[in-house]
Amino acid sequence: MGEVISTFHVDIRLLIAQAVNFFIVFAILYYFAVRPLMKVLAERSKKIENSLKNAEQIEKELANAEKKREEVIRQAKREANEILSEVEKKGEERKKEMMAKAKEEIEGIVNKTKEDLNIEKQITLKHIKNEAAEMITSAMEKILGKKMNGDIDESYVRKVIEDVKK
Amino acid sequence: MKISIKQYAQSLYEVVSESEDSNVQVAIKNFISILKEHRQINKADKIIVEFKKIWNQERGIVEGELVSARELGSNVTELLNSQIIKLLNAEEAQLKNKVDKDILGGFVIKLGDTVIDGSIKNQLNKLKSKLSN
Repeated sequence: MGEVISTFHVDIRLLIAQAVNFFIVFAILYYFAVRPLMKVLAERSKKIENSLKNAEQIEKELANAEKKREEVIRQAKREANEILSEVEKKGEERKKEMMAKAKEEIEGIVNKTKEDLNIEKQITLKHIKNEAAEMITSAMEKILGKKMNGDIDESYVRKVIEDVKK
Repeated sequence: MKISIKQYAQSLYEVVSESEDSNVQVAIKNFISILKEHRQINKADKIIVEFKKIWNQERGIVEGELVSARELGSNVTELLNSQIIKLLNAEEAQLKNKVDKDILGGFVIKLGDTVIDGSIKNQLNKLKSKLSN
């Protein structure tokens, strides 16, 4: 051992001093550089880990939100379809009602027109009858006025008396 | 006591019907004097009308109007009179004859509210009515 030390000119004291120096420097570096650095690194790692966890959570929430959105859209589509079919059904019913009402109104108008025409016809007929009756009786009145004389009148009076007797 | 026109008329009828023919004028004069006494002479016209009604009623006399288009012969008028007497079960019929050319022929007899229309005008009106309906 002594030979080795002398061969390589190793100074034990210097070596010890250097070792002490080394430990002192190491300690100083450890306390003032490595430890804070480790701490920062650990914090950084934790932050990254948290960020990753958060990212996963966000991803999950995003996935859930997407599912919910799809569900909402499906529900909305279903409801929209239901409303549409309801509206169509109501529209159809309304259409039928309106058609029936229109038909009824048309029938009413036709009947009223027929009635009016019939009344008009009756009035015209009555008018014609009245005119004819007036003409006939007027003509008869004129003829009788000319043809009637005392003898005919008396025989008519006798006939009426006979009729009254019966 | 107030005496009504009908009561005066009834009294006059009784007096006149019970009197002899020669005493009728006297009875009437007495009646007029009574009216004067009672200050009822202004009602004389109404009393006479009422008296006539009672007279006709009591004696079965029917008064009326006979309307014809021209003067009817006495035979026909008598026939009508007798027919009215028979119809109304009366003793006598007094029909005033009136000429109205508008009825064209036949006759119309008016007896109070009753009208017997046997005129040609009426027949024509009936015919007109039938033709119109």
